Amino acid sequence: MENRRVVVTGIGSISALGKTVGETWQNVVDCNSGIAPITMTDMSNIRFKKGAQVKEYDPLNYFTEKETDLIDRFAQFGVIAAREAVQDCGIEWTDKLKDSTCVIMGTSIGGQETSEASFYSLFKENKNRVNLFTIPRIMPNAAASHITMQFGITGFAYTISTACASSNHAIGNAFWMVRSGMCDMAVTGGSETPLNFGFLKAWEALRVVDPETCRPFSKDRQGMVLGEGGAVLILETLEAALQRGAEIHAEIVGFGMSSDATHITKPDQKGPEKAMRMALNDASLSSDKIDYINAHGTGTLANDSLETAAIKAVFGDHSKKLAVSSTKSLHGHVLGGTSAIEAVISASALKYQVYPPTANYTVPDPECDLDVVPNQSRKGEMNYAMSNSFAFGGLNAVLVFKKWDGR
Amino acid sequence: MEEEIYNKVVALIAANNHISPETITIDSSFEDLAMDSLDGLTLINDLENEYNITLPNEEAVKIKTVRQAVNTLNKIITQQ
Repeated sequence: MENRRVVVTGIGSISALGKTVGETWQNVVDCNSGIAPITMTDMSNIRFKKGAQVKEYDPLNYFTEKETDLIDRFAQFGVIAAREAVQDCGIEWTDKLKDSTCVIMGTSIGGQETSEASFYSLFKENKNRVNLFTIPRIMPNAAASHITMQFGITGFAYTISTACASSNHAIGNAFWMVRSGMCDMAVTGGSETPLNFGFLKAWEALRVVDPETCRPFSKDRQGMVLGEGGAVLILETLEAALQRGAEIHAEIVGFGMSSDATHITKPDQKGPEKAMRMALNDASLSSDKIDYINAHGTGTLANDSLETAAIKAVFGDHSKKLAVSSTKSLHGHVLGGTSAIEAVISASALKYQVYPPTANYTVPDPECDLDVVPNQSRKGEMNYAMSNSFAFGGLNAVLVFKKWDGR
Repeated sequence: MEEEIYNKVVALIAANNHISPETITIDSSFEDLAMDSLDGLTLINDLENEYNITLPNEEAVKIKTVRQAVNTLNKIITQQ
């Protein structure tokens, strides 16, 4: 079967930047970072105090009390983003469409909040029983499963867990599935809620969290800032979207992935290079066509200089012309959900022809000497955008988006 | 104190990395001992627990040798 063109017709997002795509995009354009002191967890015994927490989140605004008993915060965010994306795409569900729609979600750790609360009650409070819903709340596939039930989707559904690249792997898989004809529509993205005490202590031990804020590509950067949230995209064929007169946010044209096979936490340059080249090849695109890269850009010493070198190796002289920004400086590092948020931002950047900024940028680093769109978004022509994700474990996933120009 | 810290550093490196203490000297670098960045941070975290101290991240990531570990710890402990 000939490859079908795949477009994004629905987007949904919840993060520290806002509880809808509208709020999220406005804060990207205005360069308003969502990073602030974490209030949902007692931070007195943690060396860093800041994170990108969803502000004033009340699950009862979205779910019944009975549903909140069953659905962990990470899965709630997945469902909330999926509801917005489905509403945005304006689809009218039929049994046939439900049967040929897939759900592919990403998460790194699943229901961490539930794990900690349940095991605290065993270890610390000496209780003999945990909540009956502990397993259904923890399981990393919970978000994907609740999304299927929410809309009655009976096509295949699964969850991908590749640490910080989880949702790029999920979206890339979904893109290939729709393109190849394995399904007609995909609900895809990811969600994560890592701002829990035990998990924050585990990140503290790795010493990769910046105690002040996230300053990607700045010489004085000291690491990442963790965030929570989720985002979902609706993918369908161009033919189906045009037939039903759907609004198209962007087209997905390429996906590439690779593994470093070197070290469990230390990144290697060759893996990211290979994934970027594979994504360009998959899109049948020469590297000089890319206008913007939404970088992995964690703000760690190791990632940002290595990613710069990898971009230079892949793009050559064109690396001086393209813009590269890290929106993790705005929404934090949402781990398995982060690339879904970045995909929503990349699609919106193409739609509105605005280059998203790198917030909190202070001092230029000669090892990160790209145009990082510092501290201010920028209007400008953009035809193709790439979105990078490079995970702990050396697992890399890269997407390429194209502006929808009506043909 | 310095000798006690040295003995503790050697004991922790030997235990964590499953190597003989005799192979470790004050002049050993972590690289000489086949320790990667995670092994180095594990040692620092263990020393923080042992002496109930806190090393700032920027200090911790600079420690790449046994001598640097001993000197940095000795400095922090004597300042307390």
